[in-house]
Amino acid sequence: MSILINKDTRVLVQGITGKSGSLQTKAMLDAGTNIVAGVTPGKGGQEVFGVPVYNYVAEAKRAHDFDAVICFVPPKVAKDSCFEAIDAGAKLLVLTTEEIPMQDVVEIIAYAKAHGTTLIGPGCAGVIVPEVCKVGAHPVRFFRKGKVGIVSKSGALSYEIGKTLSDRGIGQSAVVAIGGGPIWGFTQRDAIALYEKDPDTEVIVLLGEIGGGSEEAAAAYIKANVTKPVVSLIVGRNAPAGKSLGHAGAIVSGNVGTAATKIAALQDAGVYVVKSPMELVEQISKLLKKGE
Amino acid sequence: MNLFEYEGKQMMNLFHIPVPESHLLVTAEEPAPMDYPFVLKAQVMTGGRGKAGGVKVCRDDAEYRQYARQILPMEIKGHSVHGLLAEKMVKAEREFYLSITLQGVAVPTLIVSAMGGMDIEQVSREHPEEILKIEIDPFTRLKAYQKKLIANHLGLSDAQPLYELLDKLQNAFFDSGALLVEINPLGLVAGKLVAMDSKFVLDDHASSSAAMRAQFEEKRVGLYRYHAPEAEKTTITYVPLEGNVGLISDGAGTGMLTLDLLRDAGLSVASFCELGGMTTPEVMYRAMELTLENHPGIKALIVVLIGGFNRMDNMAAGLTAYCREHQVKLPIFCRMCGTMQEEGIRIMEENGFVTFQDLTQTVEAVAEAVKEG
Repeated sequence: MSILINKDTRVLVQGITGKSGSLQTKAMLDAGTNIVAGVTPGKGGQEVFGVPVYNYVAEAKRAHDFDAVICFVPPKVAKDSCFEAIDAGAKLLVLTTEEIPMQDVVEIIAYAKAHGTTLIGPGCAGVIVPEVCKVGAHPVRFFRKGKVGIVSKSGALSYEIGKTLSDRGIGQSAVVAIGGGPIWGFTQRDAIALYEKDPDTEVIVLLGEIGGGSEEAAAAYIKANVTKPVVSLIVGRNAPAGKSLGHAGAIVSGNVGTAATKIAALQDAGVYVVKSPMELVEQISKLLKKGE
Repeated sequence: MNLFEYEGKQMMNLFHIPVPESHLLVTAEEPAPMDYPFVLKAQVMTGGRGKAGGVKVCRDDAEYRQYARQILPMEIKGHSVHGLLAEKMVKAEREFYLSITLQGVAVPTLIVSAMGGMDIEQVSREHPEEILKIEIDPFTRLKAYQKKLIANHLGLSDAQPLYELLDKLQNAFFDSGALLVEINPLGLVAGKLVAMDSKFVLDDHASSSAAMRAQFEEKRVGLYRYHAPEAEKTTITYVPLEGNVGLISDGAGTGMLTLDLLRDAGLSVASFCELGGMTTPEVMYRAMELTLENHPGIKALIVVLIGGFNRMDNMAAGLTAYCREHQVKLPIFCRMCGTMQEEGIRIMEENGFVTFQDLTQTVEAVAEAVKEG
């Protein structure tokens, strides 16, 4: 098993003919992902790397079964595209688009929740189960199969840590990047809940950032519910106050969302908090050895 | 986009929320715009202007002239005053606080308090029981029972004006794709509710308010000593810091991690520059420009790239083009891996740059170079 996706996952790609959509479709196919169809309005009848393209999701639905949708559409049409995917019964929706108007994000999240769709994003890199498949942008070369489950806000940071671990022989059960916020369809806590139940995951890695309260919420959840060891790296310890460093959610105002409050909450929950990728490797190695 | 009070009041007008009559003044020498007495209010992008002396009642010409000349040149909490709003005096029987926000919350949240005219953060700390928060479902908007809860919280005997105002406020918030609409204070004047101040934050990505934002921008040019901030056309986040190492990354998380690692290694960082969603060679070129031109004294540049959506060939093309055109001599430590890395590394090598694979080793190399230099 794994979390969110597995070898049987059938995927539909929204925005498949776009620059990013087609490049990522190729990468996902190469990674072993079963992509059954794509959608771009007005481009129905074409093929992208052998994947049939339709004008509407409902049209694709008549010809193919799929359970997951990954969305690469521009910000202005993201809301309607997500509604379309959710209405077609997508169980998992990975929304990669950034800079979606905030009120649209609120509607997308509310709609997904009401219809039982797991929405990852917006502005996220998605999820990879190394050596099985991926619904997202994670470059396969950084990941290898193993027992560490990673959740990260930042996509690039999840590649960074995946690479750091893989280079030193530590594989991953799954790696999910949920987006930079400040609002998420799928939170760090949600991922940790799945890793706790996943038999393939032995150690959970929480990659957090300054700003907001999602790491604190994850800490509270871990304290009450999680038995597996959790290792955490919080980035942005040295960020200046009141300035957002690239992620809308990564901003410290007053005493809310500082690295110190997050680290304290995580340590209180029994999480191993490390300061660098190298310390992370050391800590995980120790924990994996203990588990053997 | 944060709006000035006078702009917020135009928005209120647009959505039929009653505001007192007012006129914007951009010099201290204009004739009195209305009968005395009126209030003169500093137009400035920060709160707490009343305490700082930025709000004064004018009863005659002498007072008006004195206060106008006093307030207009003021700096309040580091923000320049860009105009004066002369506003008709309103005597409110009661003053409330009312807002709908999407800042720091996951769903639109209405916040209401009977203690209007005070800083809401302060009320929230000192009298948390005075604050009622109601989450608004974007599909149903405020439900009837929620409106009743609000009226009840404020202890209004006649709730009808409030219900009407709540509908208008919801329209203002949702129809303009706002991140914040705040009225503090909301005055009860002879049974009517009047917005005595206004704070609006519009979402820069919302198409519903694009025309309004453009209109406001255009009119701001006429304000007192107002310089439109230079709009960055790319998705780059650039934050100047203080130090002697420049930092460019293609991810916010890796950028923050690198900043931490550099500081932990005893280095000081001159700037943080993250590319954002756009990753063309031109955007990389622009990142080089921002970092090197704003920080000519740096001793080294670290560029941390790990390609998922972005392609390393694009990154290499932008970086090397800038260095070629500007004959850059600065030591550059570039970690390059991910999508199209072979092509990217080839371009870098052809232009005489070595690249790194491991982030920790890259940071160590920078530390060594800077300490030697």
